[in-house]
Amino acid sequence: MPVLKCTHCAEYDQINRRVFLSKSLQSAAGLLLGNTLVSLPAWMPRISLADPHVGPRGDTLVCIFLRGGADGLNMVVPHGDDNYYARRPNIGIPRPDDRKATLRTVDLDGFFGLHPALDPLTEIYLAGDLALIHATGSPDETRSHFEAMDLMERGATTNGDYTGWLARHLATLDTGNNSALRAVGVGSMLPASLTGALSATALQSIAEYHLRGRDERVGEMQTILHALYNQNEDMLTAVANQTFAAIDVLSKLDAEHYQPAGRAYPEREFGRAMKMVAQLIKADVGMEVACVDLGGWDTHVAQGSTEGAMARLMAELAAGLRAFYEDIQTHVANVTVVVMSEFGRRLQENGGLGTDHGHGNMMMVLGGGINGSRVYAKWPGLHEEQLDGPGDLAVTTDYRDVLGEIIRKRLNNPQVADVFPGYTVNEVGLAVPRS
Amino acid sequence: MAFSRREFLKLGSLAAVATTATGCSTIGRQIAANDLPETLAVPTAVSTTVAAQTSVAWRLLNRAAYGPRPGDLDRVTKMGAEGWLEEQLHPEQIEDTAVDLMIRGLTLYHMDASQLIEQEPADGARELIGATIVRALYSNRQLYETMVEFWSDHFNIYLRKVKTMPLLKILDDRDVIRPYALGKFGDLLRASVHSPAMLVYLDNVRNNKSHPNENYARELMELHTLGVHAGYTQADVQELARVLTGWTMRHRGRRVGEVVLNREQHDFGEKRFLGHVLPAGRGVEEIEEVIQILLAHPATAEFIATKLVRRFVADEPPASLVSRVADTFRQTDGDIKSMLRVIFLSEEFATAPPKLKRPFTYMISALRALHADLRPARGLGEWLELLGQLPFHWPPPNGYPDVSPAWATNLLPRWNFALALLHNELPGVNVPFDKILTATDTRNSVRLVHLFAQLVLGRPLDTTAAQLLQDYVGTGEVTDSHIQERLRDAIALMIASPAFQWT
Repeated sequence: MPVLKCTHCAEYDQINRRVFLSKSLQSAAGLLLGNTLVSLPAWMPRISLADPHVGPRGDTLVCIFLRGGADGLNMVVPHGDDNYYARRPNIGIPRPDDRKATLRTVDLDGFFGLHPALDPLTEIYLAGDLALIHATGSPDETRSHFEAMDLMERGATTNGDYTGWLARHLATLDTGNNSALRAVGVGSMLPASLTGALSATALQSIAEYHLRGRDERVGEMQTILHALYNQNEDMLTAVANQTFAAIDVLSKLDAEHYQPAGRAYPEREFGRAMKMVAQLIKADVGMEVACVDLGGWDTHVAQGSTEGAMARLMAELAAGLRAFYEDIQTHVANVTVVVMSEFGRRLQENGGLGTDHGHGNMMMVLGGGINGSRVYAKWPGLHEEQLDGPGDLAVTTDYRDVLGEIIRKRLNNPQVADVFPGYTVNEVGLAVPRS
Repeated sequence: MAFSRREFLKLGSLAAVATTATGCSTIGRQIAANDLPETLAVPTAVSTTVAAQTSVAWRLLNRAAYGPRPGDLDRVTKMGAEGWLEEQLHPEQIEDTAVDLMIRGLTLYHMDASQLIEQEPADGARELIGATIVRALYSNRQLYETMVEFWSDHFNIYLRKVKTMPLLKILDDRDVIRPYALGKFGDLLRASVHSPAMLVYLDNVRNNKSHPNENYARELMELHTLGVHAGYTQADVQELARVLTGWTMRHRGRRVGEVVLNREQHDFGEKRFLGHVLPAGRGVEEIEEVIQILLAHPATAEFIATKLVRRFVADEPPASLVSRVADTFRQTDGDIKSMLRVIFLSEEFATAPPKLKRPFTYMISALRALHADLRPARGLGEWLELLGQLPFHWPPPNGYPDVSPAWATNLLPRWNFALALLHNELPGVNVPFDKILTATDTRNSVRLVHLFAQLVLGRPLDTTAAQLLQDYVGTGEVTDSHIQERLRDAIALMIASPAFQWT
């Protein structure tokens, strides 16, 4: 093993790989299994839900969270809105017909276009498998990363329910799937959206997911550990059992010799994560939900324009999504990918050629069951009086309208009201119901 | 290859420091390595209750310190909680020769800003993380080190934000966190406002009057003082950002790294902040005034008290204790020692619910329990990354989580760390198995299972665990290599077991 790894990258380096701490985790995590209480210890909140819907599983949902507040205005560029260019004289992405610029917005529909670094997604968009949503987000107005992420990942607007929206989805849909890998969070921590999920595994590497030691003794040691963790029921018991079950499944996979079907994945953490998710999908291990984080989007300073720090991050996102899309072609009819972030950024660029915390943002939805080739937006406009709060893109489509539709149409779960309590989903029309 | 005169001098001085450094560190390490009790008693009884109630001494050693080393539990039990706490609250009076020598052996850590800024950032990161591990592992000033970790989270700085950050963070560690970790919160806050690393990390070096950057202003309120629910508004964030315009560091010259007000970039207009009118025409005085406003705000006392109680007592901080600690904050002008006395001597602490060890504490407490020896220039960084808590590597500004559920999902790396440790597969780490055996009167495998259980868990094994582990090891002499391998596995299993995860 090498000595201390201290790698240093570009001037504004990645805020990467880590989950921001959410309030959900500040409180106790509960385990949800329909309305069944699994002899929960006293510290766990009791949550009563309606009986789970019993039915076949739908798509595998891959949820990609861009941590830090991604600047959606520079990703899905409203090049048809002059106010965009007025407020972003230095960091704005040139119009598609700007002859002076070497790199320009890739036009999609005459009003919106993709940042050139996201160009690998254009073909997916044209193929009809990518939909973009704009002026979307949550009602949260704090402009605090932690509050905004917390509310978004819990999928709730009120305090008191400390489970994540994905955990509630899993709890309200009984697919008869008992896989230890029904839900996977890539990394050393589970994201807050999975808080409370009974069957969720934090996974860093398939190849290293086993107990160290001499083969002849590992089995014996595992038996002892299992007994020790099941002696007293506590927060770790379910995690330990989940870990043993996941070891059994993953030990049968050969990650080192995995060959992606399409182009190569980018050689960074996000690319490795997407590759692992693809392998799990193709190996049919019963994964219904996978969460992947890509950090580094908190671009207060020097975010760049067509090139620069944020463009590099977008390129990494696009390359990872493109490689994943090619890799899972044989399964694309049964996979939906959602890309989201806690908030967008201020329209006006700041003195450091970056942007401060804003409000409305873009989302991406990718998959075989998506009405793609479209940017879904009730565009609120970017004129001064159309902006929200200190000068931000307003939210005209609640993020739960997007997720709720996917849950019902693509994940086969009709109990959307339990996943987003207190909110009535107003579907956008971007997904095709599974037949 | 041609060297400039300056580079030549730099190399020369580095070589000279390196020579002395090795000497210091080696002696320091030898002192630390020899600090093992001469005899270690083997417990005879097995506990009949499954979850033995842990003592306050044990809890102090696991929450206000990085776990007991052999002999510590007896010592703290004899001293009593209050005696130990008072000793630990005066770190300057605690003998710490071994660590002092090891730290003296560092090179970058002792440089002034202008020298430091010229160094290789990767060396800075290595020294800083290495020093943090060495201090947690060997220092006798254990409470002080846990408070340094607490404040390093509170005033989180991410080493990979910019290339030079490890060098700037060395200054922050040395001149901000460590001098005030047990001092007055106000002094610590003020030092942090003057920290070049913080101003770079939260982008205030790019905050200017034509286009204010809100990042530092927001986190200064949300994370460093008031907390997000204190009732301030977006307008307060923007006004504070204006106050902080031009507050930057010198980027070049002899006084590089010094924090100064760039008057050309400062907004000298009037501001309204948290109900106060800040008159026009002021610069540094205005920044001092907002520090005073933030310190005097009732939400700050509550927020700091809540965080301290959450870290040291319970994920759900008991309101009664938070309120007493917040009162202490207000009565003592934010005296950290006074708040810690209230916390650690409280009934709430004595009866606190279990709390999961964070990964760094898990690793260090395992090394301490077995009196492991750490050679320099090696690292445990990769393992800390797998476990999820490499120091100074949490990107967002809220610091590593301090509640159990956040850390409960990643057990496998903990188990594998324990196995690697016991089989001496960690680079530079040695468990002095023979030395520990020398301090006992037995070579019998079953008795040794119980000895190590006492070292690792601080109490006898319960009957079920005892049976499982004895059966696994088998009966015999530990001189038999087959038995010894299994004994090492069994000790790893104790460290991997739930009993060692909780404090």
